[in-house]
Formats: sequence, structure tokens, C-alpha cells
Amino acid sequence: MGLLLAVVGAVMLTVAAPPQQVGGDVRAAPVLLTGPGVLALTAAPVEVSLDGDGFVGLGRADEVAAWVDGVAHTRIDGVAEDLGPATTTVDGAAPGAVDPVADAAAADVWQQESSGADPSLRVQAPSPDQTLVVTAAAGSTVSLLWQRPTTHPGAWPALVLGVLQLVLGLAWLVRLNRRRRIRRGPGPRPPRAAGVPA
Amino acid sequence: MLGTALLSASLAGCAGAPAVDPAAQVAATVPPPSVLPEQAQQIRDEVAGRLQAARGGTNPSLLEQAAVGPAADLELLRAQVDGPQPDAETLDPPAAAVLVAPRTGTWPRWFVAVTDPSTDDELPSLELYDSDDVRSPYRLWGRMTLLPGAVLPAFPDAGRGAVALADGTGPDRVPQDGDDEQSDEDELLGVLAELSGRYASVLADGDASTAAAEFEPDAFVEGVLARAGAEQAAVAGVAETTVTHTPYGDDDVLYAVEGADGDVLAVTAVQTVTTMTVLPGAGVLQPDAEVRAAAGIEETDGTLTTRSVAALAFVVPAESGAIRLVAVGEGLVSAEAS
Repeated sequence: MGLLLAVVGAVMLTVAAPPQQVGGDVRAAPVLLTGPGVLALTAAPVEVSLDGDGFVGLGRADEVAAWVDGVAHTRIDGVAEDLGPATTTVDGAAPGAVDPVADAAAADVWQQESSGADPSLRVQAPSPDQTLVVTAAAGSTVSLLWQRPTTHPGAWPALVLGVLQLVLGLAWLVRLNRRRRIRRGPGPRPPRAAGVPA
Repeated sequence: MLGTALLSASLAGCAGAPAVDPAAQVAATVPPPSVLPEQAQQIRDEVAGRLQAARGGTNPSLLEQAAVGPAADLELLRAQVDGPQPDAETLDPPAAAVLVAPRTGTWPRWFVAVTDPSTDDELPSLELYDSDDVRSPYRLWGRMTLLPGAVLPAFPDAGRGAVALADGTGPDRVPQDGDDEQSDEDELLGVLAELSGRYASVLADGDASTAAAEFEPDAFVEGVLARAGAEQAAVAGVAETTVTHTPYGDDDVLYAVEGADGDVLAVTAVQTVTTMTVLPGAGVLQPDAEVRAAAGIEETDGTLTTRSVAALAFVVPAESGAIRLVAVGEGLVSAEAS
């Protein structure tokens, strides 16, 4: 059982380890943003990069909510079962009523921002009250990746316990073997045959 | 048995998506500051870039996105007099030694940056930036030079923000008439509401003003009174001069924020209109170079009207004591001859 546990623990830490990133590609146009608390999903850095011209900005959630008010957008609500972004479409004002790309670049609500061709951002310490916004022309794709430096919660205990059980088991076997030898001891001498001279 | 339980627990840990941090659900009860320090520096850099582009003539329309209020008036006259300056040196704004950002969850928003001059020859300046709404960029409203020896109130950490009392259009709450017992706060708001008008009265009449005792004597008032007297003396017998000082703008402009000790930093503006009417047959007026350039004339035998604006920063004590002028940014903004 110890060997089995140790092997399971090792497998969970290596080949069966959970992915170190979650997220994936989403259609960015015209406006994509993260929902409440989503940015800090894994409490680890988040990387976002846009394929094409556009804008990527990080702002306070309440300010971004005010900025996006009335604008049709796609909201990332979390991570889906396939570990890709789970999204919701939110209707807004008539298309063309606002120019999200120009508007975003003009506004001063961003704590971090990047614009132009293939903009990208790395949010080193995402906070639950921050929102990430991506605005882009039609056809653009944004890659949004949450770092996820995690292991299976039982992997290390399984490995340690397995190794411990293995060691204890081996020690027990060695001790058992030694006891058997002691019990045999030197043993009685084989009887000599009678009438045979020494 | 234990191994089996651990195995089950380990595999169970693999299932499902990561959960949202519970801290995400915690709502802030106190409004955050209008800007954070890094954000304020970025905004100041961007405004300087837009001003530079507007001055250089590459994109004059950027002036609308770079300046507002007295700063815009001064820039417009600069553009009119000097024309495009494509070779103007790019000036990065010096780092802010003090950032005063009011706590707010709404717009309009503003903040003040007090610069740390890069050389000993420069005096620190106090810059005020204003944003109308969430989609509008911050614009420079005024740049004022701190008077020698000026002391500003202490403010809470920039990351926490300070309590705003007025967001550009007068006090947020005006005390109601008829209150027999005015609170200290009502009294303070009343003083703030009349600040620019009372100071304009002091600029006009000096010590003779009924408001003179409310303000500590300052070099700016002395300078304005001395200049008005000198101008009148210079044109005596040639022209009749009238000078009026009034609060700036259609509505009184006032930004005010409370310091840690209750003293208030209040920023407002006053405009001065000087009219010189040449007496019949008395000759002509030959204004100075700046006014000639602004009015587009060399001399006039009619009426010359000049308008200047002064952005002013005051410290209003929470309790007893006179109001202190701590920073001024003044300049001519228009001149017309008729």
C-alpha cells in the first residue's frame, strides 16, 4: 500500500499535475471585460494579450463599470469546466453610439494600459476590485491566462505517507527476518551415529 | 484504510474550477481616492504630451483635451500671440511631492499635485487637474506657484484620499438660511462659498474692503493694487481707467479638500478686467508688448480692454484665524481695442 501511495503521489505531482495556467482565447470585439472578482481568480499573475489593434487596460471595478455603462460587451464570469473563459454577452446602446477603442484610450481611469498593435499586459498582483478591459476591432482575439501554481492537495501527503509506509514496511520486514534467524540460533548438534569411533 | 482515504481526497482535489477568492465579495465602504499616485503621474505626463502637441501646432485640437479653465485661457492666448512652436522643448512634469486626491465614487473628479522642483531656482508649483466624466480625460485646470514660506495642510496618505468639500462648482452642501445654530462645518462651507467674491473685494479695495480682515496680508494683493495704481498714474490725463475684480466663470469655481487637521485647501479663481478709455482729444494709448500682441494693435485712441485671470489656492483654517493665500498662477488672457 505504501508503494502504491508513493507512486500515486508522484504521478499527481508530475504527469497528472493540474495545469499551471487556466484561461484561453476569447473574441475581444468590441469590448471584453472581466466580471467582479474574476481577475483575482487564482490570486496569481494574469497575462492578457490582444491579437490585433486595440486597447488593454486595468482599472478599478467601479470606475470600469461606470465607463462600460450602456456599452455592449462580453463579460468573463469565470473559468468554464474545460478551464477556458466562461463568458456572458451584455447588450448595450445601439452599435456605433460609442467608439470603445478611442473612448478607452481617452479615458483616465486606467491603472495600467497598453494600446496600439498587439497590446498586452501582465497584472502582477490582481485584486478582486480590479477589472480588466480589452477593446478591439472586429475579428480580434484576446488571450487571457491566469497563472495557477497549484498541485493536487493530497499529492505531497500521499507521497510522504507512501514513502513512510514503505520505509516502515521494509524495516518491519528486516526485523521479522532477523527474529527468524535468532530463533533458529546455533541449534542442536546433529547426533552422532552410535558405535562409530570418534 | 488511511491510504485509501488520502487517495480519495487527492483525486477529489482535482475536480472543478478554481473558486473565486472570498475577498472579492468584500465591498469597500469608504470611497477610494480619485486617482492613485502612479495613475496621477501617468495622467500628468499625458496632459503634458497633449499640451506639447497643441503648442507645437501638430494638433491644436488637443488643447481642448489638455487644458480647461484658467489654464486653457492662458494657453489660447499663448497660441494666439506666439503661434505654433514646433521646436519647443519637451518638458516632462516634475514628480509630485504631494498628491491630494479627494475620495469620491462619482464624477466630476479632480486632484492636486504639488511638484518637487528639479532645481533650487524653481519654486514648487501646485497643479490642479479636472475630469468631467468617466469618458473624459483629466485636463490641467491651473498651475500655481507656491508663495515663499507657504505651508499647506497635512493630508492623509494619497492611497486613502482626502475628504472633498467642493468639486469645482462651489461647496457640495450649502448651509440653509434661517438656521439659528450654525455648526462649525456650516460656517466653514459658508466661508468657502464666498471665498472668491470676498477675495475679489480685497483685490479691489485693499485694506478698505470689508473682507480685508478675513485674509492674511499677501504679496499678490499688494502687487495687484500697486500695478493698478501705476497704470492709472501712467495714463492720467490721457485715459480713464476702471478695474473690476470678480469671481472667475459663470458660476463660482471652487475646489476644496479637508486636510488631516481640519484645515481646508481651497482653489478658486478671480478675473480682472481693466478698461482704459482715451479721453477725447487727449492722444493715444501705447500698451505694453504683451497687450499689443494680444490685441493686435500698436496703439489706440479708443477703448482698450484687458482681461487677466488668477488661479488662487488658499488655506482656510478650520477654526479661528485668517485665510492664507498659498499659491497663485496669473496671466493675461485677452485684450481688445475698440
